[in-house]
Amino acid sequence: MLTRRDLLSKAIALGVVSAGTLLPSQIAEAWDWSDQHPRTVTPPAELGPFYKRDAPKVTRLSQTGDPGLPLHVTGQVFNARGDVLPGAKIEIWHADHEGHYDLRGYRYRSTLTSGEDGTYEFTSVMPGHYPARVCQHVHYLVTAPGCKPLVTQLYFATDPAFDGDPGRNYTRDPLIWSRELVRHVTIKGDPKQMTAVVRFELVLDRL
Amino acid sequence: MTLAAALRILLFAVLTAMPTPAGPPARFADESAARRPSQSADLAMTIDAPAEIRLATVCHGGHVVGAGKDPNVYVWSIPAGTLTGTIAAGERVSTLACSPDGRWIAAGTQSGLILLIDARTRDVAHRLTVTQHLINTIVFSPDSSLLAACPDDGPAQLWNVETGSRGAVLQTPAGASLSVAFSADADRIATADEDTRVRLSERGGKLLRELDAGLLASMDVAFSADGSQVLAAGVDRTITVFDASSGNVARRSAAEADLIGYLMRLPDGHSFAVLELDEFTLAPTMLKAWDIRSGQFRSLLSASDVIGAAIVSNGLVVVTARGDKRRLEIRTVR
Repeated sequence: MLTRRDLLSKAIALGVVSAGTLLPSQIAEAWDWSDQHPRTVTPPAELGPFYKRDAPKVTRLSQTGDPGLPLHVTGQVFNARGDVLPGAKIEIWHADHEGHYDLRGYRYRSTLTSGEDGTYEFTSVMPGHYPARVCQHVHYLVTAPGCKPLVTQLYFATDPAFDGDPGRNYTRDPLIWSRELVRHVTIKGDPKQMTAVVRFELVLDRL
Repeated sequence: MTLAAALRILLFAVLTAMPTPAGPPARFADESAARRPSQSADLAMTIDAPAEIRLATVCHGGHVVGAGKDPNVYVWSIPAGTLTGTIAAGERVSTLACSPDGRWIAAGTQSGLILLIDARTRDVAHRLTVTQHLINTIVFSPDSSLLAACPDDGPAQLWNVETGSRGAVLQTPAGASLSVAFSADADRIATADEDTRVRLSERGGKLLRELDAGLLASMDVAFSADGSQVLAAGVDRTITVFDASSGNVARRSAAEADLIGYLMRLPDGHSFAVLELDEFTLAPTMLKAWDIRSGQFRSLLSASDVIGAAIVSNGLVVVTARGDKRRLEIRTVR
């Protein structure tokens, strides 16, 4: 049976589809990236005591002048079958640059909704080290119809607690249950305006 | 001195047992340990431990149980403070509890096991595999027949103490239960869940009612002496009293300066011992008593050194550890 990749490659070979400046294999890769295929459910992590209901629907969690390295997180929400999940509710919260959670208000807290293509994004600052935890982290509570709620956390490969080797040292934080949650960080921008960019896909188990 | 009838044990040092991060700030302000408790606590006995002790409790049957950074559970006699048992847990212990009938010591570990230890022989009678992650809290039912375990990664589980078999798994749609309490007849269980709800369930696992204590999570729950009310306290710094049958809020305390981490019903039936925690470090700050009738708090002692507490027949007992955490002091609180 032909896969979509095979079909696209044949179409390009027959001149049905123009590849422009891209090689056929690159087009096929791009197609496959958004194609449906089973995905591994995002590993869980603890919810913790500092979740707060009814966070505002904002994509910019930090305010102008907030200390800390600017952070831009993007991702896409799927179910384990590989379907994108539009309209998923993504609640996120994290400590400020110095490791403090805002318990009185909603600083660094948000309720996002995934778009039609399942994507989400937010900007904030890199969380500080909360004293009761080893590693910097962002909490996620993701809910979508037909799926089990996902409670997880995003960690950063650049965290000094990993001493540059998250693969070996992620267990220094006993609450990191999976290496997969420690995400690659790309630093973008010039030295005066650097931003940490992270991609974090969220895959929910089906009910 | 005889300590008897431990009704409920609450342990505070789950987080203190974790490693200090490399680079980030230290997790606990141990220098604050120099502060002295107030005059409302009388020194009853001291223990010199063979290892650093980070959590401890006082059990009916006349012993003190402690654990620290090494993978052992230590048992000392009362009142001599002699080490009478060292039980190899195999991994670091995250929480401890004693059964009210004095028969059992339970030790939860960082990898999701609970060791049920015969308090008399010190033999491990059952190894319960609750989860693969840390056990936050263990509470025995008042009749000592059930054990409720709160793992870090899911809802509270009930276990049959005699057989070592799992019973009901309580319901939480997302996250874990931070704490659990039994009614006096052990027919109902209240849980303080991370999703900010307090849930009331039957011992068979059926959800009876969801209670809304506010936008932030409750960290502990307790029943009133007659079981007609459920108390919840936590991150919002208040104590909320619910009517257990209607779910309505009957009373809410004024907000304290610190988080309220633990509630323990005192023998007078209308007061609750309250352990407050620093918002930033989660380290204990003050031990207070809250009167459910007047709604007033009363300071008992500075709690920066407290690593465990128990209600015994004659009142509240706390265990403190200073300095290198090898010298334990058992104090009765007036």
